[in-house]
Amino acid sequence: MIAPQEHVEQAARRAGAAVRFRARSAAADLLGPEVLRRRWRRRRAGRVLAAVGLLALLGVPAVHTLLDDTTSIDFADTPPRADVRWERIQNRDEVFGQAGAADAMDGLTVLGDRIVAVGTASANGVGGRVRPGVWLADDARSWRSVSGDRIDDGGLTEAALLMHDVVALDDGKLVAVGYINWEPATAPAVWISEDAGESWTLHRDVDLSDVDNGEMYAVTVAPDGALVAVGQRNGSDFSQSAPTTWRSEDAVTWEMVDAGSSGPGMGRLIGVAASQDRLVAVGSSTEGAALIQHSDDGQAWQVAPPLGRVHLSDVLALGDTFVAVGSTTTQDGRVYVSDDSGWTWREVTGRGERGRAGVQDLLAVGLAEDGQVVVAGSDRNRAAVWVRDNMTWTRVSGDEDLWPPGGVTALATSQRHGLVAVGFTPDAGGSQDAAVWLSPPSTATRPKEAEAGDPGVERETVPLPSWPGPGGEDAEGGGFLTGSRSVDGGCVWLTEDSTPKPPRLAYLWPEGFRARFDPVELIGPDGVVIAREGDYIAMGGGVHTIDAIEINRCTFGVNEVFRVQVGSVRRAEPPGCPPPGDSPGPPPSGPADPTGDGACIADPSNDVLDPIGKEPAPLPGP
Amino acid sequence: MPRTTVETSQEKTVGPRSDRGFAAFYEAESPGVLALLYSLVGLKAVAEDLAQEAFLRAYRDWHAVGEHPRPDAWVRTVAVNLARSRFRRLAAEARALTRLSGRGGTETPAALSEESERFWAAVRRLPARQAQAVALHYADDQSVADIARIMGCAEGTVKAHLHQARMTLARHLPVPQEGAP
Repeated sequence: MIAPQEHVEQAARRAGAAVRFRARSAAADLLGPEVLRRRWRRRRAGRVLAAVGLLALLGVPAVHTLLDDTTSIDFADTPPRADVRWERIQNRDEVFGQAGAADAMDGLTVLGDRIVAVGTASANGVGGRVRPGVWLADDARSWRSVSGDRIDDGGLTEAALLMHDVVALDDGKLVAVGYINWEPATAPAVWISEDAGESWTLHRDVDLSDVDNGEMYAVTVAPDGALVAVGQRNGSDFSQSAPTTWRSEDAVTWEMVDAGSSGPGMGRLIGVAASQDRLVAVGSSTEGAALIQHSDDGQAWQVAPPLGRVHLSDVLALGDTFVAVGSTTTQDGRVYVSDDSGWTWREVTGRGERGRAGVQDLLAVGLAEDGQVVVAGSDRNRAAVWVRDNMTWTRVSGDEDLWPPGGVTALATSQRHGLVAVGFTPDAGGSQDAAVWLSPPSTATRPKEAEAGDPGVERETVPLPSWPGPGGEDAEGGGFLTGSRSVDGGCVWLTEDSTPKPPRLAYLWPEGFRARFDPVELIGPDGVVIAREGDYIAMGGGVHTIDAIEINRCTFGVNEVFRVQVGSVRRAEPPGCPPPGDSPGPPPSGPADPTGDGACIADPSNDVLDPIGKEPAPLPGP
Repeated sequence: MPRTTVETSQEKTVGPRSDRGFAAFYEAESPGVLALLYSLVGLKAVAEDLAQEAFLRAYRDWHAVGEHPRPDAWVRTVAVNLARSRFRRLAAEARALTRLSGRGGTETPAALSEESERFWAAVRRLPARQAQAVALHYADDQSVADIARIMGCAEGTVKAHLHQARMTLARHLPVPQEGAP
């Protein structure tokens, strides 16, 4: 029998020859030097676009002469958005990593006012083993890293330990998941912090059934309160990996959930999100196809129909709607939405991104404070964030200082701090540093804002999603004002009747509308309270199919979305009033009811006319 | 060396003083760099992207790189660092790792034998510096001295990396039994 060392040498030489042979033929397919020259010129021209923009602002004529065929560089088919404010938190070596040391953030959560990021850091700086990294910020602009000696490594000094995701529990605990890597053997790992992230204990009681290796990539809280983690299991030779989910009641002991014969085959799951009654996990198969599983409780999972060759990276829950992001095998970004808790999915990538192969890695999806879905990752190897803008995902503008080489790996929204993005960027030592970006909340949505005309009541207001512009067909009808604070800050709807789970009629409000909750109050752009929970609002506007509007936190569970133009408001029914008719329709206009405590809705005299908005739509006839 | 200012129609910026020699350099070195990156990242599309990025940087700084005593080593250093960034990312960030390594199922260099595929997959699980040394040595056919130059370390360190790598690989690569086909 051949000696192992000799076998390795021979195998290495054969493998080296094979890869050189393939590379020689493939090199012919590379862009030639002339294409590289053109690409360089385009890239260089891109760097002067900012100066060009400044010249344009200053009124310098003939700027367009610089914007010939290079205007589509560097990243987007559509012009970058400059009106979405992002800033990059200053990189300090002692926090985000020394030059040459491998630091990166990969998971993010919010615990009260504290932001908690997890990832990897190098022990002892450059050249050290990869250790779990934890960063904390009570002010989104002031970050500190948790000392390595306060993160339990189980004494595994010869292994790499990696944290990948973190979740905050209602009781204040933090639970992070990842794995231990002995190269190549791996084992899932869980860390728990009971002091808001200041110290962490390692737990390894994770069921792997009959295989040797496993890795956890993401964790969330299931609708029933249990913890659910996702990842993969590997056999000893790593030739096969199985998508795997685990459940835990206490974060210490994790039970593997068997996908059974209907399981998705080989691959891995790397993102998971939970709504109030559903879990969705995403990943990809070993063949590069998207994997999506959904479940009520994390114990029994169903597999969604295939979406094609897409590596899904992250998923976001917005009520019954889930948004998944990923990239094709040729690095073409993709965004998918399910309105039915994961059973069926449709693509909402938009025209602007299709066909731009080879530039995007979509790694994260999150929610901006205005309720708009934000996707992030990298674009031609630079960190990038996109916002939804008139049916196109448009990259947020910024120079290389703001969006350096690297990537955004996770997003989280904090009521106090705004939208936070974390990831990595190369450092001067050829390795990488952790990186943080911040899109602070707008002044209009800061908490505890007093409302004009409502002195003495200081309750948080939230902006409501507004419609994207003209379009849609005529809509008529109306409904009772209702809302929910639990959906990422708050949503306000009209509902048809008073059944326990009434169908929601309308989601998009005139620009500038806001709401308060407990009880719900609808507030117009001028700060005046227009309607309160239970009031009946007649509605004009139009109706859109769900794929014709921006996805937001409040557009879930429906295929059509009404845009609301408030025509008239009738105060809530007092006790004892009969429910409205089978077809409530818009109430006829009538004189205002200044008391607001009038008779039943059927009484037209109970109407309150509130022509709100710049261009209220004409109400349909009675 | 003073950086050359290139004036184009509307702009002044720093760039290549001359393209002379770049095409030949590109033609000569791109197969080796591509082989190096194939072996380090395992994904055809990513390797090609990184190779082109490395050569793009070489072109960007060709005024200096072209006069470098070993531009071939320079571009390999860039390539290794690009791959290392990718590699670290693969190692450190599960999402990237998962998605990208998932691509490997069908998109590694086409038609590599199963044995070669398994070998490079095992190499990519080595510590980054060991993997770089192995890839430079076996995929790019570089000498220990050149590997040391590219990796910026002593030759003895390269030998140590190669030794450690072989030891680890020997534990994880099945040795065919005598008489086996």
